[in-house]
Amino acid sequence: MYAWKWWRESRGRIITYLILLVSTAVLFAWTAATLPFRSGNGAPKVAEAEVWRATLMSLGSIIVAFAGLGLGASGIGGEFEQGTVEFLLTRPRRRRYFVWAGWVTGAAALFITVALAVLCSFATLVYVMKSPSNWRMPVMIVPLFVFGAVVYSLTYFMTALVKNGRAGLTLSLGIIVLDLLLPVVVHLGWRIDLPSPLDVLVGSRWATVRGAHFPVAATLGWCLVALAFPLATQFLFERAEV
Amino acid sequence: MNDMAITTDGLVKHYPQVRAVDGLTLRVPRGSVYGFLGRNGAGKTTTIKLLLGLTRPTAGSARVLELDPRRDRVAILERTGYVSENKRLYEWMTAAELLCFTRSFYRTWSHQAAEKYIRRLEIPMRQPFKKLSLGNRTKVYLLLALAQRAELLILDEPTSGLDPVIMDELLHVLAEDHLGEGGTVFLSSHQLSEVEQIADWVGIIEQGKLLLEARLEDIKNDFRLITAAGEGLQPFGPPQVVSAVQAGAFWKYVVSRDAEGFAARLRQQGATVTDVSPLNLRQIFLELTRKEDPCTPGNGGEKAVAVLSHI
Repeated sequence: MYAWKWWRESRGRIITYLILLVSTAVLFAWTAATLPFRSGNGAPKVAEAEVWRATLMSLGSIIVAFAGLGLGASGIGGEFEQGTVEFLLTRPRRRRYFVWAGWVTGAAALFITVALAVLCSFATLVYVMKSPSNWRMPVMIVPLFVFGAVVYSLTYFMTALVKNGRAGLTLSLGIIVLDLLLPVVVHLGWRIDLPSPLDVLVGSRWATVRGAHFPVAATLGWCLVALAFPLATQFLFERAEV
Repeated sequence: MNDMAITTDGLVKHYPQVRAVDGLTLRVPRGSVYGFLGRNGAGKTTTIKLLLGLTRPTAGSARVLELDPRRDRVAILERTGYVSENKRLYEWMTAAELLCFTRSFYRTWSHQAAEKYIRRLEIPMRQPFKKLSLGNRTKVYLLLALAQRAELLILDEPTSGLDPVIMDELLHVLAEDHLGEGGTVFLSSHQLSEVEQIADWVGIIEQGKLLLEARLEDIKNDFRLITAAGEGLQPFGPPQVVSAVQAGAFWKYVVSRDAEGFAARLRQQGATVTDVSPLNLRQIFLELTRKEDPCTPGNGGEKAVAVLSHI
């Protein structure tokens, strides 16, 4: 029932992100598939697929990041902000139930959003080009979702940490920007490669570029990071005094 | 089975700046309506939060339905209905949706009882919670607690915003249904008249400490206002004197027990006792919790508190 409540509270946001992401993905798939160098000049079909991938990853990751931020802010921290946490915690359920019911529902909504966007985009590509260049493309759901899940889980945790949905969202946004910029700065200054959630997105080249490796380790690593945040949220929430 | 629904022993909750609960020892008998009274900030709500496991005690212990709130929180909540002071619920949900959401948590939920309370308390079920008046919000909260068919109801200011008709209806509901089935009500309220109407036990708390805990009937039988006139009367008398105030030629004493014995002593001192009258709960509460020293300068209010602990 808590999952139902979460869905009812967040469905407006979820539908907005879904429309944004799907329409962007479809639009750019169509554009990529109809680029002039696509046909008749002997260029390999991988070119437009690569354009599509790169565009979808860049734009998609921004929308997915916003979706992750928005959905994460609807979590447990929002209960503190609305003043409903006392009502919630006087229902006979373990506190971890509320943490995980909320997190799983949000993660499922995020996954469905990403999957629909990638699949609609792929279907557009198939429709315009008549024959797809690479059946690996739908696997791009994985990096996009993992990236979104990291942002979502971090925001979910931050809202519980500061006991406020909006403040948690702001903090999470700051951390994400820092986490995206810091590896770039460190790389430029000291030639040291720090792990970044962008590693997962870059790995999506596996879908379109022959010989590219799928970043299994980075994907698994960031999956674990995404799972660590709800665990940390549970730890906090079980000790929270209302 | 223990005959106490709630017991606390030396319960303490300290926040960095405040001693919200300071060595509280309560005994709430099963099947009773226990009026838990105190001024704003006296520690009532913190006590309730400690009983429900919403916050952890600094020291001391509590048992609710023979369970420890620190370890058995879920088991306590399965058997306890709670109306919180703040009456905050999901603003976008209608009362019907709130009912649907809440009943999923309880095995003891009674659909028939819910229907009955909706009718009796005249609850608008189709309006979003945010559009409800304070009184209707309170009614929805009460409905959610009552329909659980809980053994114990913990009500923190349950009647705020209710009109007198609905308040009366609620008191009937509590008396007929809940108490009729052997339930216990722990009622924290500022509405002393409603507590007096329904409670059979009373506990008065001030600055986190229990000033008084007794049967309401005993309190009303024992507390008396004695008015006396005479030369050389002492402002402070035997231990049962709660307050002594001089008003012109008269002294007004509030005593917590043995009023006749105290009046006899005043007469022995040459005083004329003009009146010995009973006090209602409101008057007793005011005498016990008034901030300024009710007695003569130099005789602190603490003295009265110390006296009362022997009742």
